[in-house]
Amino acid sequence: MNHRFEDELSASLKDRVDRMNTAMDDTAVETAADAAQARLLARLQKAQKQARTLPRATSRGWWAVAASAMIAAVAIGIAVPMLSGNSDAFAAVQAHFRDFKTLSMTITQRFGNRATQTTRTVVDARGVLRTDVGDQLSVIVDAPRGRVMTLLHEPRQAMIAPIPKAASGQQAALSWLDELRAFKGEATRLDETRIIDSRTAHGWRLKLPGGTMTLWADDNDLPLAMQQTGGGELAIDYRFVFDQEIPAEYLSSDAPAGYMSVAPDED
Amino acid sequence: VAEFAVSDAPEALAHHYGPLVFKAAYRVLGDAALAEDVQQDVFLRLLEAPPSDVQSWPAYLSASAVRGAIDVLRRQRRWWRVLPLWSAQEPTAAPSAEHDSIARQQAQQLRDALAALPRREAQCFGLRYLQGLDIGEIAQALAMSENNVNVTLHRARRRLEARLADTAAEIAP
Repeated sequence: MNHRFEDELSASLKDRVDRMNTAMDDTAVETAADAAQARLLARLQKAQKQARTLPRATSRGWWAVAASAMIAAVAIGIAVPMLSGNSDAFAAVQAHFRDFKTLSMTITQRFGNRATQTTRTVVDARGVLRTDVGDQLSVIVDAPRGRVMTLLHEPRQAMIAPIPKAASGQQAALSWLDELRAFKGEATRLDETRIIDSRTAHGWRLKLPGGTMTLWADDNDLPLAMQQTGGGELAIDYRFVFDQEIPAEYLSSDAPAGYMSVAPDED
Repeated sequence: VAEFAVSDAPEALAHHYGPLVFKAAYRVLGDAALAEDVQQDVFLRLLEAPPSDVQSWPAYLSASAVRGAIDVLRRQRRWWRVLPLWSAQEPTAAPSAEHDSIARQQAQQLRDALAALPRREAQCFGLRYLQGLDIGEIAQALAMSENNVNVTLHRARRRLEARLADTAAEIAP
């Protein structure tokens, strides 16, 4: 077990294999190994006590990681706008979030003045959600069918899997949504106005445990934009478009034509 | 550790071979947290579905660790590859200054190249040159013929050399 068979390698490959092996001499690795060993034994003991229902630490495939991140993003994207206020005026704004055919959102995370991530999310009245990250990745969370499809556009691959329970699936998103719908906090009308998409927008500010939301709606109470701040320089900007015509296939969780179905963690 | 003295109970195996599994995973990943994840996964799998007919537990567990670590490398590569907007936030492999020295950079280059190999080739390479398993042990661990292991290793070496040569050309001024 201790042979390295390095004579089979070219000089450059042998050098790099040596580099990987010499890292093992670090005392830091020994310390980490000892700590990991202690946690491993504790975890096994706990797992045995919990019979065979233990959630696994790393059995998730890459698709599940993608889905987890996207579901979390989608849950935020959907639940956050469903805020409830205690004034009739704000209720008119809020009503748009409760009754729509489709809601399209462009969500931009900012740190200071720098946009760090932009996603586009669409949800329909059934609760099917699609999030596009850049041009290369899309995730469709199809709660009615209990599954999530991840699309990799460049290799034209589609991966379909059940909605991960541990990833805050649609059920969790809806329960959070219910809580927010029951919210009875104060929505304060702002004095200032903004011009958004060539329309004059009036602002509403809501203070929530997670931070402050500023929602902008036009003269007809149609929500146009929202900003969420949660402390520090981190902010999330939302732009809304209601009842845009969305092709059915865009929100379908069946693999699109020309895409190869791929099992999780397989090439 | 005397192999004959260890029972097949997962806890006993973890007690004796836990460090071996951690280090096998660490050697591939260069990251203690990820190696610990692999280590736990290997033994939790044992608990959930104990294998039968294991002739050598160190070989079996080393192979499991390398397989798991290769999968982690591949998942990381695939994940960050499709997220250009997030790639600026890509975590580095080790907080302990993985990139501090040329030696560490070279190790990372090999990890990156391994992650880009077909899975079987990466597994065979890792088991052979990082874990030191002989051809027969690799064949048994991966359910392949010895001839197939040799062919796969040859392809892996050739592909890695080509990829590392490309990397060197990119780095050269």
